[in-house]
Amino acid sequence: MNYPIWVVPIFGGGWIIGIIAIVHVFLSHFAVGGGAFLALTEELAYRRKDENLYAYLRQHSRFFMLLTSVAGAVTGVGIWWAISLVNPDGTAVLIQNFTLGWAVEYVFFVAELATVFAYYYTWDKLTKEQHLNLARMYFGFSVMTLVVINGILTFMLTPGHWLESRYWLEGFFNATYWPSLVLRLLIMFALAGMYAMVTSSQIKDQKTREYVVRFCAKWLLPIFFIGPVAGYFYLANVPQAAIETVFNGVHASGVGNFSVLARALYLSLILSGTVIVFAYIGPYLNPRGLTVRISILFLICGLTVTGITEWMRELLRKPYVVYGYMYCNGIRKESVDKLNEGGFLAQSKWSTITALPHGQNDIELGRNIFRYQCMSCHTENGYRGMKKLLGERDRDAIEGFLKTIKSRNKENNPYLGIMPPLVGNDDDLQKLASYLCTINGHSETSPAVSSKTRASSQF
Amino acid sequence: MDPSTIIPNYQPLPLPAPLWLLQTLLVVGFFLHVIPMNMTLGGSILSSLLLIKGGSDKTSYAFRAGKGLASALPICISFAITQGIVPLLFLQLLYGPAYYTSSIVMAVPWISLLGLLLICYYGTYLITYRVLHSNEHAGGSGIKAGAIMLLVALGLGGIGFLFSNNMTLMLTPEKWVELYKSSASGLHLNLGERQLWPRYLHFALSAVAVGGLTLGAFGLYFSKREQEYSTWLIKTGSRIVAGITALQVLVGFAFLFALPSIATKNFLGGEPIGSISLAVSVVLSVVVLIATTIAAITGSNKAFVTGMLSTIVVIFTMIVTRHMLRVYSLHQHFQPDSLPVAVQWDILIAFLVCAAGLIAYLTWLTRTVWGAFNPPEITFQPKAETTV
Ligand code: HEC
Repeated sequence: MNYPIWVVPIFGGGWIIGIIAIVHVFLSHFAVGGGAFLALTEELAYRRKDENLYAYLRQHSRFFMLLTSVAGAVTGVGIWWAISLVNPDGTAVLIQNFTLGWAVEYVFFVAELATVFAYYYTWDKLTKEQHLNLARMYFGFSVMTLVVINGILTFMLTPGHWLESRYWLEGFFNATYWPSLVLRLLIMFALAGMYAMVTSSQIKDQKTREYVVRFCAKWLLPIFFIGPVAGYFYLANVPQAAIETVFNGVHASGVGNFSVLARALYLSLILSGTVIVFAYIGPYLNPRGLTVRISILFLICGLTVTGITEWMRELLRKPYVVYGYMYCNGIRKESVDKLNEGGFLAQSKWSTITALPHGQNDIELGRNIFRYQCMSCHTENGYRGMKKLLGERDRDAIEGFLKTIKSRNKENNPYLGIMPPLVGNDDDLQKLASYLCTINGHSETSPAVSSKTRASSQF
Repeated sequence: MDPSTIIPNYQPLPLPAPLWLLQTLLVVGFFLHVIPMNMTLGGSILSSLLLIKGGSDKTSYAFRAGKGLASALPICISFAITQGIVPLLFLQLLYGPAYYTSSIVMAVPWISLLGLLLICYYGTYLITYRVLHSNEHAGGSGIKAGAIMLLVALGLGGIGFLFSNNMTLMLTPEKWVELYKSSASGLHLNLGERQLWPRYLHFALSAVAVGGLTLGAFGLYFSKREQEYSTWLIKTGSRIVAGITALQVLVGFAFLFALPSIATKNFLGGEPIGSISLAVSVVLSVVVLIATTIAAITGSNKAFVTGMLSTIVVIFTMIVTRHMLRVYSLHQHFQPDSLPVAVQWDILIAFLVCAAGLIAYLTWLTRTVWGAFNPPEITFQPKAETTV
């Protein structure tokens, strides 16, 4: 309503964010975990005066630098591109709140990048102590970037007291801040171990290879022991309404399959359990047997788990972009009353004007309501497509459905946990219904009645 | 049409710091971004030409200079990206409603920019690691590297062009609705914009000038070790800067008169900040022109340094000028000064402290790395003499 909507056919804009974000999560987690790996491994090489280990690190550090400084940085900026195109209002909330936080993150990011270049280009040029120090510093800076961005990410799910005080720090150090920080660090270590398995499985010298592979496997241990505890504290602090939808799905409705989230959770638990068990009996007990292929397989499993976890975290937050403050279609919770009273279209900037080329008829206006309120999660025909979801509903059933999702009362609207309430007055609802009828082909059964005649017949 | 009905609202949240400070950070941040960005774009163009010119003669100055530029590119790109974060942050904060809208209107090209960037970035690594530093391609490696570099340069130039499109589109709300109506999927550029081409040309040429400065700066680095090469670098670099600067005067005026007439009037005395920054830029450009011409003829280090420092100042004043153009253009519809301010003192102070720490750290790091590459035996002359 505030901005034009970027229409992405078939996939929907959400996937644009999703793809960039998942790639970035992999790479940025690797950047931090990999920093720890470089620092600790170099420490080891230094203490043992192990030239083979140094040689390995030199190799590994190029792979590391290329991956994190190039693709990591570009996808990181990419997330900004994507969120501002798909959800400008949500982005604006974060920016207006946390600009200075991001500015601090930027400082650490610059330090991190400068250090990784210095580190990579000064092999054999600095004394061993100096070089080791660079590795430690790199790790320190990269952790600091996480310390900052973690506050902004967790804010979206648990803004806590910020909702009343609007004080950035209360939003930043929120209920899930610490569990999330610990969880992310653990994931980072595990991923670093897995990435390093790929490079170390190619070491020529057999003794060094066995030693390093085994060392890598140990990086999966922390998450095995501490992960469940941190996970428990994380979930315990997430809004309980969100958790309910995760585990129960929406029983009262046809969308029982929303508990796909629960299934994803189980899948990721099982998969990560498997990875760890196999890491133990594979690389740890039998480091000689680790081939490049197996190590890549490990990595794929690890990335899958990370991907699923991130995806679940995003779903937990639905239907909000900032929990309890702004819905993911950019409508602020506090403005719903006003929009319901005065009408959504009547109070929107872009939604009516853009319907003009096809004439301002009900269907076109209804399409715009759809774009503004539903398209952040649905498409017409593609991903989570309306055609399929509406099924055989005729106009009455569609109107009934829309009335249901318009309610902000949990008893009447079982969808509240996954969809924002429909916002607008009755006129808006009729227009949206007219449009939805054209999607599943039920418009003929009830010829698009002009909203005026309908409205007047009600009085 | 009258765009006032479709101008998006700011979020009803206060600004975290006084407006003047945020605007200063926007301008300074952009300056810090432009330097590595120009080195990247200008460097890639010059490097490709030099490598091709050098061809298979790896000892030629052209080849060596092209290779030097090429090797610096990955780091330049990296810094261009990170330094871009700051202006992007403050642009979104202060002019988000304009920037978000125009980005959505040209969403597809705007987001493809990322892919282009990734390819160019890896392209520079490909050139430095695979082509220039491998011995297999002993033959025409200069030609091959130069050709790949040309593609990289085109890609980087394309990225700049996309930026010019969006940065001009965000200034013209009256165009948004028409464009959006004709495609809601973001399949637009801002090609109909009168200031687009002169503006882009102005920026791209300045990048080449900065590329020339980088060459000259290499020359300064070599001045103690290889006098002849150093002089060649300084002369070549200065010639490029001088030539471009002369051209810029023409392009600059074309740009100025392609602006909406109000903006042109403001710059020509109608408004003090813009007029002063433009006037200073023009005067200093003359200094640049004279200094670099002298350096191009005589190869004088001093003249070159004068030209280099003046250029850096011109870049800064031009950025102020550019910012004022944005202020003039958006003033009617976007007033960041209408937003309430609630200073986030704690994090503001934390940021300033961190920024100071960063400068100290980078200084230390540069020294350490410099020391690593220039061990004392070489720069410490007396000792070298006694050992000989
Ligand atoms: C926050 C994201 C989100 C938004 C916004 C949203 N939905 Fe949904 N919707 C969902 C999810 C998730 C489901 C479950 C999908 C599934 O089962 O595959 C769903 C399911 C549905 C269904 C099928 C329900 C059933 O029981 O058969 C319909 C119809 C629907 N949405 C319509 C809408 C309409 C109309 C809007 C706009 C007013 C809207 N949605 C906005 C997320 C959203």
